[in-house]
Amino acid sequence: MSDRSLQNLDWLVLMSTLLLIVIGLLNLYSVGHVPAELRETFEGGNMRFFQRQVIWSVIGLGVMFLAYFIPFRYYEGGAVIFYFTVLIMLVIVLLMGAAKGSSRWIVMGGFRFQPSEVMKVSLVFLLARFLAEKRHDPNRLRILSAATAMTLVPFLLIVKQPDLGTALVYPALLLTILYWRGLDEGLMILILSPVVSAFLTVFSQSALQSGNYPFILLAFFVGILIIAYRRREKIFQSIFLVAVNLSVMLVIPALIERLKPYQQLRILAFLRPESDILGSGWQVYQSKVAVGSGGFLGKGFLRGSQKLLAFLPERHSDFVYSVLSEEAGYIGAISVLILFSVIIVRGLYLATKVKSRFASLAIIGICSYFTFHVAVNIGMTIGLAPVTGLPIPFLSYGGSSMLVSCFFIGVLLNFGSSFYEY
Amino acid sequence: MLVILAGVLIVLAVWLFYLQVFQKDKYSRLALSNRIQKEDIPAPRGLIWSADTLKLVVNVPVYQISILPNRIPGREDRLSLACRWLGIDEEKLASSLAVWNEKYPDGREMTVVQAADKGQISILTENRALFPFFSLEMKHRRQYPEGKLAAHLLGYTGEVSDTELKEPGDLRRGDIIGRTGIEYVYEEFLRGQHGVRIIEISAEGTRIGEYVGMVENEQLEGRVESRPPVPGHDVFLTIDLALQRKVEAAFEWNKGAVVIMDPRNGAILAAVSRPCYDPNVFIGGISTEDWRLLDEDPDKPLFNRTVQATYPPASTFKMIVAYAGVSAGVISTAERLKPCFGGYQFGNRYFRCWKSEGHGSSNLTEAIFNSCDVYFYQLGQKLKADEFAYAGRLFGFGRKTGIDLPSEARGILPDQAYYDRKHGKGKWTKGHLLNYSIGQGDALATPIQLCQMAAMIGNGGKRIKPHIVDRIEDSEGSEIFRFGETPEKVSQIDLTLLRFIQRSMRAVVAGKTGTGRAAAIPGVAVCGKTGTAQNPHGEDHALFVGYAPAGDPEIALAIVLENAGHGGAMAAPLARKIFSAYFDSLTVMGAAGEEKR
Repeated sequence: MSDRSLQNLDWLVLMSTLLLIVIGLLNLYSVGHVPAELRETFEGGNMRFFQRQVIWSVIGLGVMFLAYFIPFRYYEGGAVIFYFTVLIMLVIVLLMGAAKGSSRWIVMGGFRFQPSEVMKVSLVFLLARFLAEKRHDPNRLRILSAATAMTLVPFLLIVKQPDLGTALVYPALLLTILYWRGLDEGLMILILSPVVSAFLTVFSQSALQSGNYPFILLAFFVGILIIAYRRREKIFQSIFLVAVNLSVMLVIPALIERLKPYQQLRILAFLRPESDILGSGWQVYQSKVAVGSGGFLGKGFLRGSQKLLAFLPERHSDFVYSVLSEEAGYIGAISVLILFSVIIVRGLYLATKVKSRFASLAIIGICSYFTFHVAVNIGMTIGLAPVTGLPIPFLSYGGSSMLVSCFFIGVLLNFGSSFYEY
Repeated sequence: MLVILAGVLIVLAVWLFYLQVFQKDKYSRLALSNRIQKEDIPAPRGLIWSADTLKLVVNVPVYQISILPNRIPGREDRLSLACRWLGIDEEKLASSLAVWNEKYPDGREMTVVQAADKGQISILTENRALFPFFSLEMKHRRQYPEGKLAAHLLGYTGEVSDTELKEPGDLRRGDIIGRTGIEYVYEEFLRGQHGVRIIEISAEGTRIGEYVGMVENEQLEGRVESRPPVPGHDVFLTIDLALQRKVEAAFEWNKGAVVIMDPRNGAILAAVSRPCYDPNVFIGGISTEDWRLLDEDPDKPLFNRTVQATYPPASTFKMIVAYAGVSAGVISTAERLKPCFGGYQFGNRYFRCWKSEGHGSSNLTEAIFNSCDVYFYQLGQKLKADEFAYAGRLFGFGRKTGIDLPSEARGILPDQAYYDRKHGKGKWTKGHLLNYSIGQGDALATPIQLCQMAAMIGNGGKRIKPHIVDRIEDSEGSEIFRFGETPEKVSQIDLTLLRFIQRSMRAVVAGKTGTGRAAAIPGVAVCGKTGTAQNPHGEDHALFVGYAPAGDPEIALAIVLENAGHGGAMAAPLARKIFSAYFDSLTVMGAAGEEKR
């Protein structure tokens, strides 16, 4: 404990985190703010989210502090129990949800939290611990299956809630951790490429319908062919890779054809929000308008018209980054991106430095968590990613997300301050 | 790993840069068009004034409460609260909303209260945020303060229909346009120009305030700047409200028409058509049931008899026949024809004179003031159909007078071609002209044509254009239009012969045996002619045409009382009342009255 001195503290990560929390709070203040002359029209504004987030931030800093001081061995040792505890909570949420419609929260003494958020932490540690074993080579089918199962169980429970957006984080965590552990690149491509193919195929449907060539899909297929050619020494794998992707590209349109029109529209709306301008497309459209109209320098703190006049949906949660981009412009938007990059790049650096494989894998999981959330959330606000409802860490309102992010930072600082030990 | 991460971050950074730097203008425009909205400010419609500058049609500002169906979902409890506060029957509203939404699925607003009271207005203005599904809008509502008075002249307005909205023009939903009468004919003057206000709204549609400055935007169809509405032009009628009131009061018959004109310029001083209706019932939309009652009433209250109805001119046409006879040279004014013994034998048919004991032998003057049918039967036999028509045409029969009222009828003035068309060439005989010579048969005229004839005889054969709009002024009082057609003497009219007819018409009223004696008033030389139009469907129509004073007439009139009986007994007394009303007011007002003219 004593050698966990402040000298070894990763100030860069800590300062970035603190800055992000402050920016997040200011931003939420702006979300709730209504100019005096319009108080009557808007029923006085709404500072509830800001006030609560202040409390969450304070608690979050406490959690970060705690995570920083918990001895390393407890993480590795508690991973299994932790995982199963949260898994039980997920089942409870699902059962309670069945009783009263849909629910994602567990309510405890006036506070409610989302087990699906906490599961991100426990899954990272469980996978890290499982794969840290020397004999657990991910290229062995048994190991790969076990790791997949660990991910798949919570994934399915959360899909059932239903919260597909949150659930998608889990496969992302799994894949990055597996890759870091040394999953064969070819295997990785084999797993990932059909998913990308499927996504691009559906994406291209609208392009085909409007008479355009699906260039992106074709480019991707050419890329697959190049990879297959370069790995031609593993000829079966290469042939399989091309075959799988080709069949996905051919089968998916046929499948879509057989769906009912409203189901087709729903898939299309998920992947290409702008095709559904009255539904989720409206949100993305308004978000892009907010971001774009912010310009280079922004409209100024508290001055966002898209935010104030409520054209922007979910201003405090999913689209909080749009508020920031509208009021702080490109400068603000890129600053946040840079602060996250600092944390993630620092994490990657640490992952290569730590001696313990468990720590390294856990850190990679944490990096994956931040990257995925940041990329998907920002991508959503600027129309590059589907509307999944993933929060952006530290900025989106929400206690669970705040605590999980703070906890991860605490772990990062913890492992980082003593990496030479393990 | 680092490569993938860098790739993702760079894509985000570059795309953000693209949106925020390269496309900033586009998105700034879109952000602006999000929150601004063009709002029409309705322009007040022009007023209609009488010649004595009293308001015949005015605008009353009313606050209309409308409901926006799209904003109700999720606020049902607030809607019922609002209904309680505003005193609106919630169930009735719900059922009419259901019908409305079926009819207009686009979610357009539905009017709930036509004219909100003070309490309702203050509830809605104080609770705008609470009840976003209600909108309160000031509208100019048309009102006819005189009710049924001159209703047929003024006409009425109605809300613009969906088909009319599709036509090109500046019409907006909810606008009112003239449907008939002056409201219809002078629509382009009366209608104002919408103003525009650019307002800032929230996503909810809540008004934030007025947006100052110019906006250029595709959604608003180009450059838009707030501009005030331009009120419609005021229309000043030739109708003298005081006289109109007196004529309406004196008109005690249930069906018929009166037209009173200034023979010096064709200005209509008063006009009555009965039965009539109250144009105020059309305000805010008339119910289908009420409309059906009005429209299907056998007495046709919506029908403006002064210009739309045609009647046989009967004996009032005798002046035309007399003019035709003398001008064609078939008789002279002094010449006496065969005596009248109460009828006229033509072939195997016997045509009666209205006076069964007969008039004896008459010259033309006597035949006019006694209205001897037998004389005119004989005269008619000497004339060709085209000679009737020639004289009739000189005095304006057989074609529209061109008065500024809608749906004017042309009437019928038969000529050779007409009979050829109707009966076939050579298949009609002089017998057909017998009825024509006493203004019966096929000849038909509108009250306005009869009045025009009286005026032309009185004013010495000058062609006048009947009109009821004297001038039009814009809202600032500058003159846009003024009636300025100077009457011109019709060159073909023989003035000596016309003087003779004038004297005969004077004798109708002043002569001992004149049929129009009931129209005489002391101190003013009234000229006139009675008529009794046979009507196959019922009682005869009583007619009277006339003018006064004899030398230089100031007023000409035509009266038709449907199914009232004898012209001399029924129509002439009304003429007297009208003449005395007109000239009494002049005497009472004395010099002031003279000055006004």
